[in-house]
Parts: sequence; structure tokens; C-alpha cells
Amino acid sequence: MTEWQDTMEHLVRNRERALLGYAYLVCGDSTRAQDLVQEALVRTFSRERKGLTAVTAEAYVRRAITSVLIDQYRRSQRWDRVQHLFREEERTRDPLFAIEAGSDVHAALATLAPRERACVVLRYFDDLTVPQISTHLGLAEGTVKRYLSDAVGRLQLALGPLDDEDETTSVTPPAKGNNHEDV
Amino acid sequence: MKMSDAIRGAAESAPVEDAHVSVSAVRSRARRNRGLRAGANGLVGVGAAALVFAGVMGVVANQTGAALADAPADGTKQITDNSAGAADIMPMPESANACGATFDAAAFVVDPATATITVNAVNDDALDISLNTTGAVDGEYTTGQPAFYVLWNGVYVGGTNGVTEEAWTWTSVAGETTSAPYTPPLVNCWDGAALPAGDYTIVSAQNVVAAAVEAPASEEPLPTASPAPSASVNPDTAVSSDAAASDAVVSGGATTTIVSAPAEFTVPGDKVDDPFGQYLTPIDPAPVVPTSPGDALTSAQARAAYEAALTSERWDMAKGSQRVVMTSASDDTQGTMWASSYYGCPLDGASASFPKESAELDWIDVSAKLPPSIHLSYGWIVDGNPVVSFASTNVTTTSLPGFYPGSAPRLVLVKDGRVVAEAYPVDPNQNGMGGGIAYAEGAPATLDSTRGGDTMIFAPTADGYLAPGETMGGDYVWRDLNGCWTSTGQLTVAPGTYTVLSAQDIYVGVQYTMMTDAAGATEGAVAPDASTSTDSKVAPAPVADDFTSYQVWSSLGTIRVTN
Repeated sequence: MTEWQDTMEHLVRNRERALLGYAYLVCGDSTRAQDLVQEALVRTFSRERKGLTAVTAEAYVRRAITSVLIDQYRRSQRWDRVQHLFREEERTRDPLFAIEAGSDVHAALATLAPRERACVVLRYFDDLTVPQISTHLGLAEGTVKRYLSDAVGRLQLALGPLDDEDETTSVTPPAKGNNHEDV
Repeated sequence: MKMSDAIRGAAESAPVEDAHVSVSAVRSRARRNRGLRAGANGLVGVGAAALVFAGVMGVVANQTGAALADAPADGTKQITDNSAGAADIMPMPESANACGATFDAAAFVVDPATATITVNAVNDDALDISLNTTGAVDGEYTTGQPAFYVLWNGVYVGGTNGVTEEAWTWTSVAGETTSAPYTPPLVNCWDGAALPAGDYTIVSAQNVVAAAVEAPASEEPLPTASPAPSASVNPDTAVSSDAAASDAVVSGGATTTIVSAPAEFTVPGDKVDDPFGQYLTPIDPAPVVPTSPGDALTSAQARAAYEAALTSERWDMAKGSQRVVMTSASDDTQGTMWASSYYGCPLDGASASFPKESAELDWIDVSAKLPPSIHLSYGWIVDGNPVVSFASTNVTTTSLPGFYPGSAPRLVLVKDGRVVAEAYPVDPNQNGMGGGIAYAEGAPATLDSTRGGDTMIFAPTADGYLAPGETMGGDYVWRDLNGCWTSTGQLTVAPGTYTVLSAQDIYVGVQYTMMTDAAGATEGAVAPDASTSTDSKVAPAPVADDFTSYQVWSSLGTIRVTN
């Protein structure tokens, strides 16, 4: 068996649960999380990466998970045609169902639109900065900041005050009126 | 609680116990992809044909979806040198997309060699075959692993792919036949289950690329790429264009696929009727039709009304006044409208004044009863959780979307035209109904907190339409006020008097119906007011993908903040 296959199997054997949990954070569905991890693994190991270890591979896979999620949306429909679906989610979510502090984080995350979830996970799980998230997801920094701002507000509504130091405003986004990229 | 801790804890507790990763599937697909890359790299220098080759290999791979392992690196003479590669043949349960496709051998060029398959034995789990290739012309070709297609009634049901991790050179000698043994597995391509007893056909397909040689002086026909056929197994990208093929001959070589004559074999046992019925029988999707009312506002109507009422006049935000802003539209192809129409907490710490253009439209009548003042401490309202009575009435003659049970008002506090804080009053009754309660037409204009459910006549429908004359509203507890985040951190709401605005989103456009089947859900757009409408005469069917969305901003007056 080749080295990359050893690395991949080692990664899956030891970190499958963690990767699935991460993917679940991103998408909110266990079946889809499985597909995301599967696809992310394929992406990660489909090309030669010198010196790839199970540890570094996990980082690749985590990045790939969010990329796959966003790409799936991009591929499935032109964003122009589906953006209202996301808005629909934002409107239909019930911001009241989990207002008690300490409510389940999963339930709170479920109130977020997919792009918001992806941004939140990258920001608060992976500690990426806004520019990094912007680059990774192919979104304008201002868009990322908006998603994060909206998402954090909604999560705080459900979970109570969250006291992470927020870096989402540390970078000046493009001036109002500039083009922005959407998923 | 820290957000990062909460998020990481959530990952730990994610309910993914039943989810698992298929290592074999990942390995198979990754190897296939690596094979494509390696194949292409191995052909660097061959010119355009390299890409053509990779493309053909890719299609073959897509058709079969499995991975093969190493090809002989020194195979400079005969394809028979490659027999070892068969040991790594794997089934490809993940390539179900191609399974069930009709195989059309005519889609592939058969020059410069002819090939046949000799079935030596039908073993329990694999075929024992020999692939016999006869050169039609003399020449050198770059090639890789053959693909095998197992067909049942002409339908692709199993096989192996033709991807190789390393291409090698094959010297074709006209009239000379070489043989190589292979053992393609007898499993189906959907889920890897053993092929049931029955009669099958196996066909091989092997790609070859003419090596970079001078154009032959002889009259021998050059290998050319086939035109795109109408095969069910999509060969569109498998062949080069005529121009590409021509270039390839000169600069590198043309791509050809050697397809063998079909060979029949029988999997012993008791034959069953319709052995692949469970895989081949299509499942009619069941549409879930949206329930937009016949009098729903259409995007065309909304656009027309908006444009007619558009004004550049500055909004003074006087109590009771209202402005509507278009926030997105299907013809906003650059996706810039949201930025120019955005109003809320400033995204860039600077520019966040109300949009220069907005419309004065009477779509909804918003009434609210706010406390005259709120006392803040660290963002929390500490003077007794004031109640906000809030109601929206549809004053148009069409049903308005965007009013969902359970939705709560979104309030912003404005100072000098700029939003400085946001608030989301909450429903005090966590009974599942939420705070959105629809009152009957003619409900009292002045709200009070004692009305409650006694006067509740109905709740808005789950699809979120508010019929003409209907009112949705309720009493909400105002618990906190969130200062906007800026480049220097979160704003502290200073004591003072602020204008309170409410925002209501209205999306008007295509309704999406979910087409569900056993494999999952797909979406399809359905024009409102057309087939799904209860009364399609109310409005003509709009352009299928026309949509617009709006924000209705209403001034609720002022409030005094103390701390």
C-alpha cells in the first residue's frame, strides 16, 4: 500500500469521529456530514502532497469539507437563482425557540443559513481570520463579516452572551457598493 | 461561555454515530483521480494529445468509476507485459451514475487494432479472460489499462475502469496479435453485489495515443478521433474535435480507443427475472407543490409598484413613515444590489446611511407600542423586561410573502441616520406558536399587551403569506439591545434618544418545489400563479426565474435609552 493510502487510512481510523463531527457542524445533517467527509478525503488525497502526514492531512480535510459544501451549492444551482432559498431559511427560522441561555448549540446552529454556518465554523472552530475565510470560501470579506455578524447575533440570541473576542471587524471590508461574491 | 468552546463542544457531541467513512471508496476515487493526473503527466511532451488522452481516460473512468493500479513502466513492446495490473482491478460501487447506461461501442474508434476477448473461465467472483489485441498498422502508441464493461442486455452493469497511474508505450505491429490475461470482478457497479446468474456480455476499451512521430507517408489511414456519438454512455468529452485530432497527428498523436468485439459469458445458477430491476426501475419523483395563494404578489407587480414609487428624497424617519428598499433581484447579475441597498449595522465601520433610493409604498401597515425608555446595563434591559406590542397589516390587495408563524420583529436603533444597535424582542410563550399571531381583519389599531390569544382568529399559513387585510403581530419581551460591531469593537449604546425602525423582509418570486425520490431531493423552480396557483387568472405567470426581494423599513418613533 502506498504512503498516501496509509496516511488516509490512519486518518480515518483515528479521526473519523472528529471529522464527522466537524462536518456535522458545517452542514447540520449526519448523512450529509458523511458525504462531506468522504468527498473531502477524496479531494485531499487525489493529488500528491509531499510530506503529508495524518495530522496535516486532517487540516486539509477540514478545509475541504467547507469547500465541498460551498462548491456543492455553487454547482447545484446558480446562486442568483437560489439566494432566496437561503433568505427563506433566514426568515423561516424561529429565533425564539431557543432563547434560554445554554440551549443546545446544534439547535442554535440550525437556525443559521449554510453560508453563515460555514463562516462560523471556520471562524470559531478553526480560528481563521476574516480574510482567511474570505479566501477559503471565495467570498468578499464584507460578506463574511456580514454573515458572521448576523450569525453571532442569532447564536447569542439562542445561547446567551458569548464572550469570544471578535476579530470579524478587524479588517475593513470593501466599501459599500462594491461587488461582492455570493455562493 | 465562549463561542469557540461552544462550537468545539458541539462538534464533539454531534450525532454522527451512524455515519462512517468508506475507506475503500475514498481510496478508489482518489486513485482514479491520481491516475488521471499521472496519466496526463506521463504524456507531457506529446502535446495536445496528452489532454485528449486524459480526457478519454477520464470518460472511461467516469463510465466505470474504479481505480486501477500500477502499469508496467517499461512496457515498450506489448500490452501483454501489463498483466500484473489486473490484480488491482477493483469494483466501483461509487460510480452508480454510469450504471444502467446503454453501452454503445460505435462511440469509439476501433483502429489501429482489433481486439477480442476470450473467456477462459467464469469463476465465483471474477472472470478469467484473455484480451487479444491485433495491430492494424505499425506504430508506437502511448496507452494504459483497458476498461472492461460488463453488459446485461446492452446495459452497463459492472466492470472495471481504464485508468492507469502510469502510461506506457505500446508498439503495434500490423497483423501481430498479443494476449493479456485479466480478471474483471463479477460484481455490479451499483453496490458491489455479486452479479446474479444470467447471460452477460463483456467488452473492453483501451485508449491509445499515437506517439509524436512524423506524419506517415503511407496511405494508411491515420487514427482519428470519432465524432461525438449519441451514445448513452456519454462520450462527448471522450473524443477530440476534428481540429484537435488533426493537430494531434502533426504535433503529437491522435487518441483512439480500441474496443473489443463483445464476448458472451454466463454466470451459472438459477436465473432470476429482471435481475437488475431494483437498480434500473426509475422512481417517479413526487413533487411537493408549494401553496402560494392565487392572489400572491408577483415579482412583476412588485417591481412595477416599486419603480413607480421610487424616490431619491431623503427619508426623515418620522414616526409612522415607511420606506421600501429593493435588496436583490434576479437581473442583478453582478450581485451588487445588496451592498447598495444595505441598511443596518455598518459593515465597514463607516458608511451605513439609509439607501439613497427607496420607495414610498403602502404594502404593510406597521403599528407598535414601545416603552418610552429602556434602561441598559451591559446591553441588557434591566428595568423589567418591557413588552413590545407589534403588528403588521397587509394593506394591499395581494397576499404578501414573508410572514411566518413565530417570526419576531427586528428592530434597529438609529442615531443621526445611522444604525447603532439591533434588537430582537422575543416571544414570552415558548409554546411552539411563537410570537407571530395573526389577528382578524379589523383588529384594533391600538395594540395593548392584554389582548393575547383571546382575539386570535387564525395563524398565518406555514408558507408565510399574509392575505389582504390580515394582521400578524403579538406581544414580545424586549430583553436586550446589541450595539453594532465596528472596527473598534462593539458599540456601547450611549444614553440618549434614538429612532426605532423595524425591518420586514419580503421576497417575491419563484417558488421552489421539492422533487423527492429515494435517492434524495432535487429542486425545481415552479412559477407562482401558474400551475400551482389556486386561481391562475389573478395574475399572469411571471418569467420563471424572475424574483425580487425587499425590505420594508418602518419608523416606530423614538425611545430614550438610559444607563
